[in-house]
Amino acid sequence: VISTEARTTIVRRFYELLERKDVESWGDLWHPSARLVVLYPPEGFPAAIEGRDSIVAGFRDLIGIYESYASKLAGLYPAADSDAVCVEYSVRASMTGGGEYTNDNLAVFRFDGELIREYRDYFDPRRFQLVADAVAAAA
Amino acid sequence: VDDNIALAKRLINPPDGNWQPLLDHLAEDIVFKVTIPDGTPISGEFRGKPAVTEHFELLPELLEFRQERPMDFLGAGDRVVVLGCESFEIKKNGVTVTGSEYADVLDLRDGLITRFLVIQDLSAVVDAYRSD
Repeated sequence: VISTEARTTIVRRFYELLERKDVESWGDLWHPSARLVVLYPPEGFPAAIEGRDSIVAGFRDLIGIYESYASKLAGLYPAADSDAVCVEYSVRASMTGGGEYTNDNLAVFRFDGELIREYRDYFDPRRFQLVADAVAAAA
Repeated sequence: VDDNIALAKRLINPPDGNWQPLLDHLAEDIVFKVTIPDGTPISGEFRGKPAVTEHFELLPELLEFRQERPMDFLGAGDRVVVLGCESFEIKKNGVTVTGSEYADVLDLRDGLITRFLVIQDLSAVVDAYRSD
């Protein structure tokens, strides 16, 4: 288990790189066998994305529909009794096709060494439907 | 942290389904919120122990919950995050939703809950009250 400081640094970098739309560097944070759990998958979305390459490919499509993307971290809580880090954050994104996406999320990161092994994100899926529709339209 | 996790386990998942211990551990300035749009009886922010207590007392008339797997408790200082999966029946229309993953965030101060945030897909509840 890596240190609390190292885990929180990785998580902060996760959001910084997303804001910069640097998906390739962002991909380096993931373990090759990582799992991204889509807790409330919209129609056409899988319930989980397996493997770093698939995660990066999916987010390349996702981030491409944002004109701008900003995440404000309201709280970052490294668990004392496990390798998990919980993050409360809000999202504000402008869509390239118009419209704005906002949501309030809670993400849970788990690690394998210094790489993200699992990511789960809890949010209001009704608001996310706007994004899902835009991704489907762009495909 | 261990004390807070133990307390959260006792309050959030009472073996006898009795919510009174949870209500007894609400701070006077508790803020309770569920991430659900406006328009349902559980929408909005409930502030203060009387309002939150009333909400919890009303809840069984609206929804019936059943845990589908053991909860996961993550502790960090004065905060405990609870991850779980449950099914719930909406009393208004009899619809049952299964496999509903959720995250609860509890802030604690001196053994009392000061903030209780629930993040969960409650779209079915919105649908149930949409026509009202």
